[in-house]
Amino acid sequence: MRVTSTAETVARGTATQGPAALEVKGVSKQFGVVQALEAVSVAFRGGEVHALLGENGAGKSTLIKIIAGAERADSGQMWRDGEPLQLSGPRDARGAGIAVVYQELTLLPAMTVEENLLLGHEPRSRTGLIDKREVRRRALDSLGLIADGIDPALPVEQLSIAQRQLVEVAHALTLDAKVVLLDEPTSSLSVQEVEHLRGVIEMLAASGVAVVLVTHDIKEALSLADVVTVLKDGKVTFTGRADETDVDDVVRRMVGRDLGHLFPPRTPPAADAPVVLEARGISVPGFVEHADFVLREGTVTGFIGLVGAGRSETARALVGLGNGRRGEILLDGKPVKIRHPGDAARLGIGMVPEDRKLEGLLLGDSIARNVGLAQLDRLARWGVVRKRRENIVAATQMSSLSIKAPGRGTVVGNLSGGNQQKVVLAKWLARGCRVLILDEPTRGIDVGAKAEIYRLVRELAANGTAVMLISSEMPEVLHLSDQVNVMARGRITTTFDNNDPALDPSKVEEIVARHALDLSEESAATPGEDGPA
Amino acid sequence: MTQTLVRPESPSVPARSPRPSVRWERWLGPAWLWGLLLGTVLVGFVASPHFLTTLNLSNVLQQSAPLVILVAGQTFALIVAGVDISVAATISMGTTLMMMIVDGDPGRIPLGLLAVLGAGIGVGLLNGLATTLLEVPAFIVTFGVASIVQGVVFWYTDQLNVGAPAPQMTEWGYKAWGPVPFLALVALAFVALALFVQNRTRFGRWMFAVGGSDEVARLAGIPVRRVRVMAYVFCSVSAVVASVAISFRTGSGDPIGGAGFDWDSVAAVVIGGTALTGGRGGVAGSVLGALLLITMGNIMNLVGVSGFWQIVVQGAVVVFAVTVSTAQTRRAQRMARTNIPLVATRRRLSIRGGKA
Repeated sequence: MRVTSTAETVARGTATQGPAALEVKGVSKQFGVVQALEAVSVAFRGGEVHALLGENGAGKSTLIKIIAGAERADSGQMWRDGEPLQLSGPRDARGAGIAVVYQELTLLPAMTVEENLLLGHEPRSRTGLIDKREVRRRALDSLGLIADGIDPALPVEQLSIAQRQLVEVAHALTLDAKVVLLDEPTSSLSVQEVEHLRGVIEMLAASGVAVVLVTHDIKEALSLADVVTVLKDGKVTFTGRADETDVDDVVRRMVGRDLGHLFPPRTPPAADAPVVLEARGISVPGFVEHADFVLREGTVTGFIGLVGAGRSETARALVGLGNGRRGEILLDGKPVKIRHPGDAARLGIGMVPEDRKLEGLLLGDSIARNVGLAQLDRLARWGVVRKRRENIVAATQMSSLSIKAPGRGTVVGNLSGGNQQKVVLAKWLARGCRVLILDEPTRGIDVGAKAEIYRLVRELAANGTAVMLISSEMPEVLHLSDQVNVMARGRITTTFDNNDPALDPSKVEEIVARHALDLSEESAATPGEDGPA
Repeated sequence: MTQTLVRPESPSVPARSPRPSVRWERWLGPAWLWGLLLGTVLVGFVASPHFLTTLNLSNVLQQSAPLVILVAGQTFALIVAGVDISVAATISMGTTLMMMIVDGDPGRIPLGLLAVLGAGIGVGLLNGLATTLLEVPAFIVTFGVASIVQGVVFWYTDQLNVGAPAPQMTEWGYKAWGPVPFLALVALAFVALALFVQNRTRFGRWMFAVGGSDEVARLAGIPVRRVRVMAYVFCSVSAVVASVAISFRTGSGDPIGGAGFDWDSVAAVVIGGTALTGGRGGVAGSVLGALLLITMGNIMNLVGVSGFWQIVVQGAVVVFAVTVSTAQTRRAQRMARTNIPLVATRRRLSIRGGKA
């Protein structure tokens, strides 16, 4: 497939002279102590498809937001056709001919396709009323190029996700955008739909638009793009023509970080540590396909995968969440029925959810009350919560987890992200669980707090807890876990013992990345298209 | 620019049999509500020999006029994801002001109309600015404003019925051609205006966008706050227009004459299919909802159902109607989902591919 794209590149390559349609120079952005972008420079040229690749957290979304005017850079400049570009909001970006097709769609479901397409710039006739014929004409114009057959008078809620995605692209056309950013455009499309979108992207580029494709899918990016830029930890690690690189090269430039000093030493559990929880054939329609795995006493079992690989859904199924979930859960070898998280808690299975603010904490309440929440049944007598016991429990946890706060009455919403996460942990530790599920426990917290959480995870394991660790940051999982499961597209693609002395540490990340991206074998064995390219 | 593009050969989106355009629903309201209204009329016809008489129908239409006018405005408030609880107090204000200013003198009717309109715009601005600038939920703001307005009305009326209509007002208030009363025509004209604003102007379209998603509207460059404020102003104006219609049919200004219109109007709008969460629905459905409520009340009166039971029935109808309209929305969305291969299908495909 790269052969064909080479031919096209030559044809399009003529457009690469002169100033770039959009050039980003030395852009940096910091969130708290996290350096999201560090002196990133990249040029997007008209007539080119430019793929932006990187792991979760590499800085792709931050870069998009800055280009879209939704976020402001701390330093650096942007140039549009050689002119300096100042953006004070999304409207400025639009005015400059920059359109973003977001991953999460921004269409209004109750309004029709044409109303959505021309929202905010409705053409008006001389009477000041909306010129319906002009609306229809412009809608059909842009739809005809991209999504022929979609009725412009249909409410958007009656379209499929794929059709909505195409309408979003058509929207960029009605804005007459010269720079179009597509954020993970194929993440929810079927094979034919992806094919169709590829056609659209090529057509856009052929008409002189600078197309920026942000994606996880390396194969797709390489086959579609003329130029590839790889981001890692907020820095550009590679920019070059797509035909001068390959999947392995890109993967190597995407992964491999040195965060070793943050991680505590790992004492391997006994090889014959008893199985605490066994999951058999866990399925959640649309998310997880028949996952089998075990969690052992004193062992950290890590789950690696891309966003949407089904890791969180697997974890949620263990505590009785997820519609239509199936499968068997055995605790100490005996099948158990878990209908909701309350059942799980009684059985000693606790979960620290992915979104702590939404699912893990009462932000407006005190530390003590949050910690006591998961064990009110034990704290209460005759239905009345015994404040003194609640306070004792909270004080114990605060000192053992070194939660930094003025007191146990401090409102949780005022704590830093790291301390908030510790409160969520304390909630379950106070209860004392045998199985603890940690879903992205270090998301959005600073490096120091991360190191503390890492230490805690290992301590828990040392005390016999079976820990299930989910994280999008590969080094985190690889440094903390004894057992590793890699998931891709709803199934477990590989499992290995991370303490195996035969394992070559320099190769592990690459192997894992291949399995997480579902590139294993098939890329070489089947040159034809059997999955989304 | 876009016209010069050449279409690639490959793209052909699986076209689905599109549902017949829903555009007419925006002008006429949901079909099932027409059915329900017709069914109610039929029930009335069977239940009472007095129902389908010129006199009674004329009566029903005349009674409906103020509520029909009011719901046009209340619909706008709900479309922008708000609500206006202050309309009852605004109506009380409108009728008493009108009666006090006119006080039997036909020459002062124009002055009265102007004063009432001005007061209505003032209340609307207060509602709109308070919700958008203070970012307090509309329910709370308009509840507070209702109390403020009602208090002022009590102050200047001393809690007594005030003023008197000019004879011409009463004459027009009771005028009817056959079963078609003058006030019903006024209501019809007002509804036509509201439908026009809703369906043909940019402002109308922007209301739906703002109610659908603040964020999307802002990204589209829509002046979100201004649209909200205008929706509230329109709502209050419709309340004072309704109050004028009432003043054409009463002998004096009642300081609590608007009582009950707040919940009745919200009920009618919600029955009509406008979501409390905003962004969908429309004036036409609300008008049908208002007619439905009034017609049912009339039938129950004719048959001699007690007022207490009438309230019970009204509550049941509101719940029933909201159930039907949310179910319809959901059905439309589900239809869209099942017709198209989605994520799950794609996963199954790739799993097969992976194991090969």
